[in-house]
Amino acid sequence: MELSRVRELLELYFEAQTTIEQERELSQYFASAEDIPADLLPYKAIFAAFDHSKQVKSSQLLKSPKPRLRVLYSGLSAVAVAAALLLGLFIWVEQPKAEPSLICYIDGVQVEDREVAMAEAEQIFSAMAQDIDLAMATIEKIQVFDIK
Amino acid sequence: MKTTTEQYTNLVLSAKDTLYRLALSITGSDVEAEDIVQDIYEKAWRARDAVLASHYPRAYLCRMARNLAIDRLRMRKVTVEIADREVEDGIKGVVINDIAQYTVKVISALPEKQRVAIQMRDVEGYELEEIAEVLECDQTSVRMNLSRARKSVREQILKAMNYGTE
Repeated sequence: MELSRVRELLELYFEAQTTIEQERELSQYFASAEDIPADLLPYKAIFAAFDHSKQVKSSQLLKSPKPRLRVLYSGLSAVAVAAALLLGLFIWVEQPKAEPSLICYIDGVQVEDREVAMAEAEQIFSAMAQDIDLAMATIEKIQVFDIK
Repeated sequence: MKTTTEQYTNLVLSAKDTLYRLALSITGSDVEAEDIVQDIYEKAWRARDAVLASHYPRAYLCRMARNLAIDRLRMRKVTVEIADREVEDGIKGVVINDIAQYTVKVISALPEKQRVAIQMRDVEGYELEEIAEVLECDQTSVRMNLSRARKSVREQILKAMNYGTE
C-alpha cells in the first residue's frame, strides 16, 4: 500500500471514520510491511497490540446450564395439582348421595317430587272426603230408619 | 433445522472468547472473566429466545458481559481505583521493551466506555451498530468514544516512545 494511502487512512482511523475493511487494510500493512517509516512505527505497535489481544482465549470448559429450582418447583407443583384433582374427584364419586328431603311411595313407586306427591295426596284426600260424605249420608239414613 | 438449544449453544461457544476478552478488559482478572462467561451461559440460557430474536445476538451477550463485569467492579471499587492509579504511575516510569504489550496496558487504563469501544472494534472487529448495542448508546456516541480512545492510546504511546529514546 502507498504511504500516502496509509497516512490518509490513519487520519480517518483516529477520527473513527474508517470502515472495518479499511482498518483491516491498515492492520495488514503494519503486520507485513518491512520498510515502515520511523514516524509510523508507533502505529505498528498499536496494531500489533490488537493482534496480540486477539490471541487471548478462554481456557475453561463451559458447564451446561442447570435447570433452575423454579423449573423443578413448577414441575412438582403440576404433579401436586394433578394429585389433588384426582383425590377430589375420588372423594366426590365415593361420597354418599345426599338424602332427598321427601320420599313417598305411590302404588309401590318411590316418588321424590314434592308437587307430584302433594297432587296425589290431595286427590286421595278428596276421594276420602267423598267417601266420608257418602258414609255420613248412609248413617243419617240408618238413623232415620231406626226412628221409624 | 437447528433447535433453539443448538442455535443458542453455537452462539455462546462462538462468542466465548470475545466475551472472555471483553470481561477481562473490564475487570482485569482472568478468574472473574471466566466466571462471567459461565454466568452469561447460564443467565442467557433462561432468556435464549430473546437473545436469538435480537438484531445482534452476539452484541446482546457482550452487553451482558459488560454489565456483569461492571457489577463486579462496583463490588471491589476501592481495589480498582488503586489498580488504576498504579497503571498511571507505571506509564511514567516504566522502561519500555515491548511497545505492543505496553499498548495493551494503556488500553486497560482507559475509561470504561472507551475501553469497551476500542476492544469491540479494534480487537473483535464489531460494527458500530453492535457496539452501540453493547454500550447502550447511539452510534455517534460510539464513534466519539472510539476516536477518543484511539487518540488517547496514540498520545500515550508517542509519549512513551519519546521517553524511551531520550
